[in-house]
Amino acid sequence: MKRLRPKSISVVPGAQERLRAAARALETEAVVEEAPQLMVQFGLGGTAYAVELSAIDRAITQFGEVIPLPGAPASIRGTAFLDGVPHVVADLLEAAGHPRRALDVLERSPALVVHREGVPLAIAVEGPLELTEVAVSGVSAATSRNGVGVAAKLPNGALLLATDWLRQFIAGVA
Amino acid sequence: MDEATAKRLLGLFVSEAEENLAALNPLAVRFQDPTQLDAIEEFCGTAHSFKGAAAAVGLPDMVWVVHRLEALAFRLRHTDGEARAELYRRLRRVLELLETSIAVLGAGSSEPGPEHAALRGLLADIEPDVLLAQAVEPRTAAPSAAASQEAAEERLSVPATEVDEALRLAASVTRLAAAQELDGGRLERRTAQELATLSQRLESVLFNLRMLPAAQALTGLDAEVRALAERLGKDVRVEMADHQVRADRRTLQTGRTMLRHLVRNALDHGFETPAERASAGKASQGTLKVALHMADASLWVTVEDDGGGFDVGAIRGALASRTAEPERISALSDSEVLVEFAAQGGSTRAQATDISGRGVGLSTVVAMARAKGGDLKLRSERGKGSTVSFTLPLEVYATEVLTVSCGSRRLGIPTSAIESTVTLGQGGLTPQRGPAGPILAFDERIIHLRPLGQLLGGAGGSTRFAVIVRAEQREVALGVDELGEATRVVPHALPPFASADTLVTGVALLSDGRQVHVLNPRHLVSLVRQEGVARLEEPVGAAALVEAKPAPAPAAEKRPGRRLSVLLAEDSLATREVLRVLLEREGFDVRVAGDGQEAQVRIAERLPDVLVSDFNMPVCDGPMLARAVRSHPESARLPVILLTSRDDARSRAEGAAAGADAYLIKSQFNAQLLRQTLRKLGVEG
Repeated sequence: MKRLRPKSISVVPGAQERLRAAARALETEAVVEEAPQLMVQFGLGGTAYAVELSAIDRAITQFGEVIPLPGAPASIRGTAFLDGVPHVVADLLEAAGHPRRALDVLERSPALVVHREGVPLAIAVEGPLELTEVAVSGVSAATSRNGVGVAAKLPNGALLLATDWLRQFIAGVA
Repeated sequence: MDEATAKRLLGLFVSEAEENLAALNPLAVRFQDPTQLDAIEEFCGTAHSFKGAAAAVGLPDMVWVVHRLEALAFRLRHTDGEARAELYRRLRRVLELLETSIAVLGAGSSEPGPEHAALRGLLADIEPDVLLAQAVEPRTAAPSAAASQEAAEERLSVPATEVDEALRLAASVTRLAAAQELDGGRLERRTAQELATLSQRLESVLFNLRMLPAAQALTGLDAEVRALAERLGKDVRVEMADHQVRADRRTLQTGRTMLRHLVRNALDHGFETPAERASAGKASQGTLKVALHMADASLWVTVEDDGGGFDVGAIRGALASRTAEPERISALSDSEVLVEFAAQGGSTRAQATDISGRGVGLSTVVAMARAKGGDLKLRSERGKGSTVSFTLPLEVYATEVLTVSCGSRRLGIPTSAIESTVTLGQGGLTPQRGPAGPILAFDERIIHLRPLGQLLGGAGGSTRFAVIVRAEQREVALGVDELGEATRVVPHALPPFASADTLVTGVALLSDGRQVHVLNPRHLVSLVRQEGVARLEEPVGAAALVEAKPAPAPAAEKRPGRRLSVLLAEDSLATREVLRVLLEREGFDVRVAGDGQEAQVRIAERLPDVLVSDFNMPVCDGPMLARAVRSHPESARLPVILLTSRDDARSRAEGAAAGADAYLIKSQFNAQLLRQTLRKLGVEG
């Protein structure tokens, strides 16, 4: 299984706040010079999204085996072992209003790994998964789409997930 | 006690005291916040264990200190402002000095060090017994999230030599793995074999750190009992049976702590002095029986004494008064009354003692058992003694499971809860239709059968096999598509947000790299039975084994009152099971017997409220049974109802001559009719 391991890359904290400021500045035609930020880009229903690298633990290109967890809430698709550690699996595509994917499709999907209550939570997304550098000065304002919280639009057109919304999504997986 | 034994017991005490202090310190930190005072109950439970252990090894100074430490913690609840802050500082200081004291003991001193003078000074004005009222208040606070987190981080004491061995093996595995990485990733056969051998040894060492002979929970107990009994002026001998059970280390540690609470309670409150026993016509030496065995995927610990027993009448009265629910309390059985009273930390003694406190010990055992997913049962007879049993589930940490498949699901069922596996359909058992759904007639028993996949919310599958699972003394048959292998796994716990209902106790990796969810046998049995009750509420089809009468009021609307116990004697397995289900559904507590002889055994075990017996049975029929019941003084007044398919004058006369109280026709029999008949006989639920 191929995995993207972003742990070794240092990330400047507070990037989202600066991106928001940059987006607001663009609306007033001001120009903000900032160092580029690292983002993980992924797809959701044909639209490109991105998340700040600092908002997640890591990203994986595919799961391997996902099995349904008996008695679990509907928002939990099952469990998967990654590096010998069990992960609870949720699907961001479903949260974005798309139909529920079959488990064999989910197993081949990339995912963003975060933690909740000390337990790793793998949030399935769609590919292609990329690690990109984004120049803060190039972002523009954007609004939330299909219930997914968006903080800004990146220069390459990808929508940046709002960190607060992602936090709420993680807390709501139950 | 010889010197070597005393030294060994002191070593055990030091190790346990260190763990107690490790638990007490974080709890004490929480008392800074006045909203966190619910932790006081937990604090005192742990302090109580500490105190009991000190008493057992003969450290009266330590007992004196910890007894007052408990009282100091209780006092925090009833003070505020600067007074509370002062008490809090004092409590922290006491804990610091206790740590020093234990360290001194651990360094080889047989007596506490000079810090005890400081402890006595700090605690001189703390009078323990004035706090009795607070100590026996009902315990209602649920464990906090912080407490759960601390429990999850519970420490294990393991021999350093075994950890060293595990480290050596792990280093060897790492060295081989690194070497093969340098070698271009090719794994030679010899290296692969060496890796496999080392990994297996490593797993075995680590597994043994978890799984130990349960008898270790009993180590030193006999000496402790003798020493305590001597102090109390009592003469008690101990009989122990461990049945070669192995359990994981943490369960055993918990079990040992709980066991000590029970033993101390029995010695202090249960057993009489030799003189009192002699005047009661008993042997001057009392007997304490401690037994460990494994059943229903749990460790069962039973402590039985032949002491004075509980005064259940007084306890029932105290409980009714304390709860202000006299009707509910009067409907409870004696055993239920004792457990509820124990859970609330109640005591009928006016004075706490430094051996077993004021009922906190028993309540600690109830709380510990329930916190671990187990339970406690209590029986007592005034003048004859008491039996306390508690259970602790074993499957949470390390377990052997049978893997099964249902559709695309792969699941693990703990083998300790599996009675048997059977093939269904051609060449095997054929499921039949019962009033509450499919049943299997297996080994003279009728067992509810449900497809496991369907039970878990998926498709039913082809259910070629059935796994008979037993938990809480009930059996169910789970239909599965395929049976896999029995294999040992160490499941990872799942977070509460993913498995709030405890159906899945963990997830584990199998040797082939696939994952398996380990199911909770108790939850499975409960699910099947709930579904069975739900089905009973549905109209019963023509293929049902008996014709069901109109459904009674839903369970929630059932009138309050004591559950009536019925002994049902019936030789037909199917009829017996159907009647049992119908009566249980109506709130009766039902036991069954296959014929009149077995019924007499059951009656001797425990007298029911009513005997319902088939008229025609082999060996000993209904009239013979009725005559036998009437001939024994204990059961002479037991209401006896005979059931028959024949409604004729001769049978009625024969039944009446044998001493039966009522005569009912099987085709008309149902729970309502039984209630009406019992009411006529003056038996009210």
